[in-house]
Amino acid sequence: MTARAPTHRTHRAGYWFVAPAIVLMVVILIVPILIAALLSFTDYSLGNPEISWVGFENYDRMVNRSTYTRMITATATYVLVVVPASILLGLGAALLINSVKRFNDLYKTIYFLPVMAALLAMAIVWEFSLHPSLGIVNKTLASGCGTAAESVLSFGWLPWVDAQASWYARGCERGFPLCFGNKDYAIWTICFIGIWQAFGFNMVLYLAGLTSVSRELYHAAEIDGATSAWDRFRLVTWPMLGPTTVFVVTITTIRSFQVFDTVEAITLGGPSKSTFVMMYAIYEKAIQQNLIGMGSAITVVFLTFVLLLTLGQRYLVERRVHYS
Amino acid sequence: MTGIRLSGITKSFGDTSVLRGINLDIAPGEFLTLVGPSGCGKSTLLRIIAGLEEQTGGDVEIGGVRVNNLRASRRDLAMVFQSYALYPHLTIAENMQTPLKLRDLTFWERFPLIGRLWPNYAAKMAALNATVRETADTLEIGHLLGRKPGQLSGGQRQRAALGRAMVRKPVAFLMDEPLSNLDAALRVHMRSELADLHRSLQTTFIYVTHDQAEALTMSDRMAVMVEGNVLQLGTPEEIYRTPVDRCVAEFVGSPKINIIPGAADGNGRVSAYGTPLQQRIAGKARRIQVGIRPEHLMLAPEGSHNEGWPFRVTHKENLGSDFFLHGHLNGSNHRIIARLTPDEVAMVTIGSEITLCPAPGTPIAFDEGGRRIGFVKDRQ
Amino acid sequence: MTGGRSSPFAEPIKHAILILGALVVILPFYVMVSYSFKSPREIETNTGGFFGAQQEMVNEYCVKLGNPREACLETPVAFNYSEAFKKAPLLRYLLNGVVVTASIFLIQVIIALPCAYALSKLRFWGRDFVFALVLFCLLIPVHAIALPIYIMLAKVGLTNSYAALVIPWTISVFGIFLMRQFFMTVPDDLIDAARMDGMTEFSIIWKVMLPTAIPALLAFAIFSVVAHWNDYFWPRIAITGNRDLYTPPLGLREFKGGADGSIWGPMMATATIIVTPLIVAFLLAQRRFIEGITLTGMK
Repeated sequence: MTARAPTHRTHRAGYWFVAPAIVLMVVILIVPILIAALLSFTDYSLGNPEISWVGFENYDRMVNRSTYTRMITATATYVLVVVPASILLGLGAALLINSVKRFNDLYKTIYFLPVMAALLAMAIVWEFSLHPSLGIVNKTLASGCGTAAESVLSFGWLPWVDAQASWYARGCERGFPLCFGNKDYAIWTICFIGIWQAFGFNMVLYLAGLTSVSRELYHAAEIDGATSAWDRFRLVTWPMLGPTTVFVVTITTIRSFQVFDTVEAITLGGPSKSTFVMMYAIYEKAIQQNLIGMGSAITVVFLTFVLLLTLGQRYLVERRVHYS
Repeated sequence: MTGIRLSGITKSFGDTSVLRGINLDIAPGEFLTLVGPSGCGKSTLLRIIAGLEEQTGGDVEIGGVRVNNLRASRRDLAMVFQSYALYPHLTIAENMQTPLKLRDLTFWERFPLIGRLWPNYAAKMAALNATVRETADTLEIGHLLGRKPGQLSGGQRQRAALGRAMVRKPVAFLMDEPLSNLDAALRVHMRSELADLHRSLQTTFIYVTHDQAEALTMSDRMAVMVEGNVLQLGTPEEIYRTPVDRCVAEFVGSPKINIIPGAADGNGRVSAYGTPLQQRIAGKARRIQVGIRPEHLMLAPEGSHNEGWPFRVTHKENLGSDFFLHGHLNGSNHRIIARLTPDEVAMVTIGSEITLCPAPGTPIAFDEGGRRIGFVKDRQ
Repeated sequence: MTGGRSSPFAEPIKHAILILGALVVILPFYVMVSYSFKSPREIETNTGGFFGAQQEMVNEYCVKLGNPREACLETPVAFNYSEAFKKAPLLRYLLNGVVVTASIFLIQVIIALPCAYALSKLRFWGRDFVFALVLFCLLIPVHAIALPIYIMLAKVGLTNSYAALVIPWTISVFGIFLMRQFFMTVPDDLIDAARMDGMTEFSIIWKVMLPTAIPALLAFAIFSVVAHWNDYFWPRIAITGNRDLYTPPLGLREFKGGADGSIWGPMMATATIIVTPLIVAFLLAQRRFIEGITLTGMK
């Protein structure tokens, strides 16, 4: 891994070149971690003349107070929904796009657009689209009331479903559910936006991974008798995408933990803290309410999760590296 | 034992014609090599036989049955790839189990994790593993079954790839340049091992290579292919001694055969570069080309200058067991290579002139278009 | 892929699924652009097709300012887009975005390139330690430590400034890592030749290494620009009152803060303006973008 630089003399210039980076790394990355760790044991607020220690009180609150347990639930729900969904969709899209003969680039471009667009902007647009009365989605569903669309979408054609009591029929009567205003639905809608934004990125990574799978392996599988797409996928595609998958999981997970824009723009953590994700919690508690101590505690917990995840990825990759 | 027949196989990619009508009858149990320079279409032909590619025209018959519409997995063939194509994430044992699992286990029995709940699973796997063990022992890789391909050397991976092909007991083995990724010494060793394997399995081997030495040493018959055509099909002996044209003659044998201008005088007598040859040719007087292999040239015995070619030496190569002399025929640009024994060249230095003559019966005559002209029997 | 004879239905079905997905993906873009063309009434009733029937409407604000109704007629698209720029200094915000994004990237390069060069090609005591430090810092997402950085900035009085927006991002450990990996592939001989020619180590960085690293640098540029143009979280924290320093996402958010009925059109117009530059850049240079993302991804 180390470059073979000439060994006859030390390059003193090296010190000058790395010095700025080292200073910045320490000041901007490392010192803040220490500060956060320190302050998490206090009840400091900006403007206080001094710091008073409160021990583990902040952490204690995180496990006991409902605000914070809901924070953990909301964050966990978001991560556990968005990560698998956006990875599966990304993989599925990559497989589909890889196997059709035409318009591949067009699909690729379209699916990648959400990744480039500012999430804040698109979150607001989604909020608008899903608006109970103005939103195009609900309007379109409402215009389908009483038409053939209703009979299809209410699943009345399945023998065990009562069309009158279906979600569609109820929506036609009482107005379609408030995607954001309803505490049961809000987190799922936030998840949906997160998936919408993230899967294009995973798709691109998987596409790159797919092209690097050796064609001869597929030939060997064919000769061995792997005739169906499922056999080929299980025997060649999925194993060869292993490293890509590990990377995708880590990146997507870390980014999911950092969700903020959608929440701050639309639900402000509500209703009833059902979308009170960690980054938003830090913002609300520490910045808006000036509870620096609490915010620091959340920061420390957050960092711990991220660290464990990344180290977990490194470990997995080390174990599973296979040479081709 | 099953024979394979190719009739009129053509293959084009758009406007480019890669195979231009191949007809081959491969006898049951024979070791047939498809040999030729890069791009001649031999690998494509192999993949068409395997069913991995579809021919543009023509038929493939296996055991008398036309298999054009059968996909690769149903043709009962096995293939060894140039890069071995072992599944990197599976152990050698699992690699070898894969074709058997795909053939003998049902979809649900193969399903990860829950497959083993099925009643017949254990029995089938036991039978399967026995076959794998047996094959591995034959190839002497039994001790490697628990390792992954990345942990094996090139030669071991080769054997593992062979093992995966062998477990299926196919009607024919297809091999796509399997030795080209090995170093020279290992390659020589594996050549004899493959030949032994062929003898013990008594199954048809169809072998693709660009290395004419491999073709000559291993095949029962070889097909020399150039630009999508089979130029000649025959035993190595036939290809070597009686190549059908100059192309084939130049492809086989290393170093390349020397080509010298010559003439036939209409009465059957032949001369090359002014020196008469012992053989006779029928037909009218015309110019011909004479081919003489480096290994068939000798130092003319003392006092016989008329019977040989004056040769000026420009370069000597000492290979220990042989000497190769490079030089020109006197008075021309024709470059000639001659292989001589160390004793013969003891006195030869660069720049010196010697006389070379051919061993009896070894020159080959080609007409101006390159086709070989057969010699007629001497009157005497 | 390998000579499988699949059913003739397979291809159309795949396209159907992909098209369905594409519709869902494109929906918000469609809404955003289309509604940025429409009048308030069209928005409420969801009529008018994609571009909206550009019927002249009355600009209520103009009337409130005392102008006669006849002088206050304009087409919806004109209304929306001009309101977008008038309600808040959108032009200023866009400028801020450009300044901040460009500054960040430039400083990142200035810090990262020499460091990467030193780590890959120079020998000095402690080099391995520095690299270990880099690897460790790769584990730290800057957003995660936004709070303590904010506190530090507050203590030195730097909040509400361009400095606050730029400083935390000046150290891109990812950039150092990426460039180092790339530099390791440059042959040592090239550098030795430059040294023999009399170049100082400093000039080697900019005259020899930089030109060979253009592809990697481009990938990094894309990564950095996209991330920082779209960033909302950090500016939200760092800018606590000075609206002149708002970056585009902050500007849009502020717009939304005072939402009443007629504001949807201009708000969609603002969103369109913010999102368009990167989308257009992406469409023009797709291959580069995707290569860049993949390159940064695979490292």
